[in-house]
Amino acid sequence: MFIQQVMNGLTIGGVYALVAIGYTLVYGVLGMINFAHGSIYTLGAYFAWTAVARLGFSLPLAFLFSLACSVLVGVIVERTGYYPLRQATVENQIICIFGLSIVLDNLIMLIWGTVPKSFPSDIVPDWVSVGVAKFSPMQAIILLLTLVILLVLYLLVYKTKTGLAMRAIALNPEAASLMGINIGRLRLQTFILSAMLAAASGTMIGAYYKIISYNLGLSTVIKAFVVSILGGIGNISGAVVGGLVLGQIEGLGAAYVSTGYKDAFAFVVMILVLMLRPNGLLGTFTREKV
Amino acid sequence: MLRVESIEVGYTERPVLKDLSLHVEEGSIAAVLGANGAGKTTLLRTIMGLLHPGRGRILFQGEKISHLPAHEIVKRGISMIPEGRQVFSRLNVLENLRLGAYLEKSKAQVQSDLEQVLELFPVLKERLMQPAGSLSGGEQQMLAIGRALMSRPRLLLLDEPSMGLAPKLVTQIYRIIATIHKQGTTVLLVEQNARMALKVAQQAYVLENGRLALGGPAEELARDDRVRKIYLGEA
Repeated sequence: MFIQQVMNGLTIGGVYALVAIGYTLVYGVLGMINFAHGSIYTLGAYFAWTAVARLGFSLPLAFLFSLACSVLVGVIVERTGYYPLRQATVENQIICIFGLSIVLDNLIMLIWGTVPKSFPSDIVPDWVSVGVAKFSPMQAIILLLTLVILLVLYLLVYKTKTGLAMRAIALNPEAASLMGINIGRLRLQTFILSAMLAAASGTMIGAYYKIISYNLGLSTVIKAFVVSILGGIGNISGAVVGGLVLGQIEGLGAAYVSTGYKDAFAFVVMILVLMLRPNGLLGTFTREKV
Repeated sequence: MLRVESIEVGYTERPVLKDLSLHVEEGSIAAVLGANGAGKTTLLRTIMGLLHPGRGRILFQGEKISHLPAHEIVKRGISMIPEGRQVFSRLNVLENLRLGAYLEKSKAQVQSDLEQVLELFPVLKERLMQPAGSLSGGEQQMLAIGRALMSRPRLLLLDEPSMGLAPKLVTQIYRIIATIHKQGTTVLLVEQNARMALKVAQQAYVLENGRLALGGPAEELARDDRVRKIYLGEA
């Protein structure tokens, strides 16, 4: 029972971490909280569902299909919601991005309706017994995939020139442009990356719970926001730690306290962190002001 | 090499630079002097493409560059050491230098440029893995200069290289500027420290309230009564 709860927490926590990294990357490089992140996450799940249920794709193919579609969504959202407002005031940017997320949510309802969609139940066997513990293949797939994505992200951000440029922009955009970095292009690339992370997470969660609805992204994204605060916003390793911590708190809390309070735990954690460690668990990250 | 032709630049309606023209000869050091708020930094930011003139134009080696964004200006061979150095404080010294060579595709070239820069600034060699924010002001200025050199610029813009530094360090920084110039880089520097600037420059300009007040060979300006009184503090 305990091991199983830890596994559940790890699975969900890993996904929270991915969503939170998407937030954090956009916040760092574009300097804005991405309020459309949840909508892109939901869209990702629906793309995957369409691929599986309507186009007859296998799950891995549906995953790739969802990623490909999210690239397109990322380009559209960045070029309509962010790029034209790059010189505008923060208030205007927030309103625009918020509006854009409402448009996306309604688009989802228009295309797929408000009735929840379920993934075919035979895509992956539900449970496999190993000794006394029952374990879910889907959980294993999600954990593995999350690990791979985290590794790729780590290499990208810390070992490539593009990653170095991203970190430079997060610290000081103007100085970065003086290095010859095309900030507009890098912001677009970062946004696409963040959209792909959202879509990957949405797909995994959709396939995990096997049921999706138009408001799928809402609670996850709020929790990913909690994770960002937990880890210190703008901090990638913090997002991973924050995601895993929240996943465990939720999983164990649901098992040993009450399932009904599952979502409340996230907010209790957020309030505690904001009171006790407002820079996050690992965090000292603050955006450089010139 | 660089021609600024009657530019007008304003952040809002009120122009900061008014009908300003100057030029920098290839292979020379040019200095722009002026009091705080005269528009010196605005001039460099406009050349660098961080601001765009409402009127007039800027030519670099015959090409109009005043409509280009900063990263395109860097590509054409101009590099700026901004006011306050603006090193990436949380990145280490090596990462800062590598960012300076962002547009260079050849790894071998980056490596040899890195060696040259470290030869010029041996103190950075001992600090390669330290966050740039942990360096002293003088070391940060050297890092900022080294980082700008990593793009092998043909024209180097310096914004108040002596600001906030002890006199001994100022002398050292100016010796380095002279070395860079000797190695074939054209230099345009902006200074409040007129004495230092006039010593190294061949051509000098004086800005007052966004307008060109004086311009000519640096030696002549150093003898000019007004310059001596206002900028060199002589009676």
